[in-house]
Amino acid sequence: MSNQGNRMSSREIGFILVFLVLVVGSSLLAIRFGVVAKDIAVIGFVSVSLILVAFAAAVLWQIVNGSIPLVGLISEPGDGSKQNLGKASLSRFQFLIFTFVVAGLFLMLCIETGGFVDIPNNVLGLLGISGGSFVISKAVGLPSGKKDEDQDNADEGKQ
Amino acid sequence: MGDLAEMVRVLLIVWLSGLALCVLIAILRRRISLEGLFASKNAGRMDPERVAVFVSAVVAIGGYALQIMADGAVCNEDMSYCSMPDVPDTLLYLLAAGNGSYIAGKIVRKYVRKVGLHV
Repeated sequence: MSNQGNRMSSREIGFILVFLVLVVGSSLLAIRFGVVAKDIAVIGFVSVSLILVAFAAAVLWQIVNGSIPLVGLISEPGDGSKQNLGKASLSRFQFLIFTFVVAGLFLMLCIETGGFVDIPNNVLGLLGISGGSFVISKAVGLPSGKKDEDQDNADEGKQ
Repeated sequence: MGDLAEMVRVLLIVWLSGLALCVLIAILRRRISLEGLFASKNAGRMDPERVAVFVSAVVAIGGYALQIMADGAVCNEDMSYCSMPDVPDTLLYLLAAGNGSYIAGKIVRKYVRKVGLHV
């Protein structure tokens, strides 16, 4: 047990050393080749973009191979079992479609214009109607509170 | 830098399309169930207000997408500021009416179930 603990700590030390060597090495290379701040910004942008794209690809890959299940994506909560997820929810379905379409159109316009485009208030209103309807329908669909239950019990008792 | 940003935007839209495709395939293969989409929880039969909200949502979002495909982004003369086009008020009213009827239907059905009426 203690050996395993020692091995883990030596791995960590090795990782830190490799990381430090990489940082120092890349700094020396940058000084040697006269890299300016603008180049560093580009390298940083590429690195961050690669990490984000890797995250996105990992999520998509796990969805494709089933590690992230989509089974209950638009279902109402059922009794918790995998077989009984509850019926499909129209408000969830609507919200899903709106999100995909508006996000897709936004990205397409960004590509077309070559920069971020502004989102007008009534597009936000469109999403707000859909999201608001989702929230209200969930609130309406909740079972009645304790007060109602007590009232029901009292009514049953009278009968 | 501009080319890189363009490439990232293209990758983002490819990812979003991939995600949408995954959801579509899951729906077609019935891994995501659409059973009961137009029915309320306890009745089990189709509710007209659910059909209305579905149609209004498809018309609103489809109409807006068609408008964008036809006109593109709204930009000023020197292209320094661009915006998504406004959603026509008619489509907003249509969507609000559809969703309003859906919520109203849900509330009425819940009340009717509570008082024990059969509609």
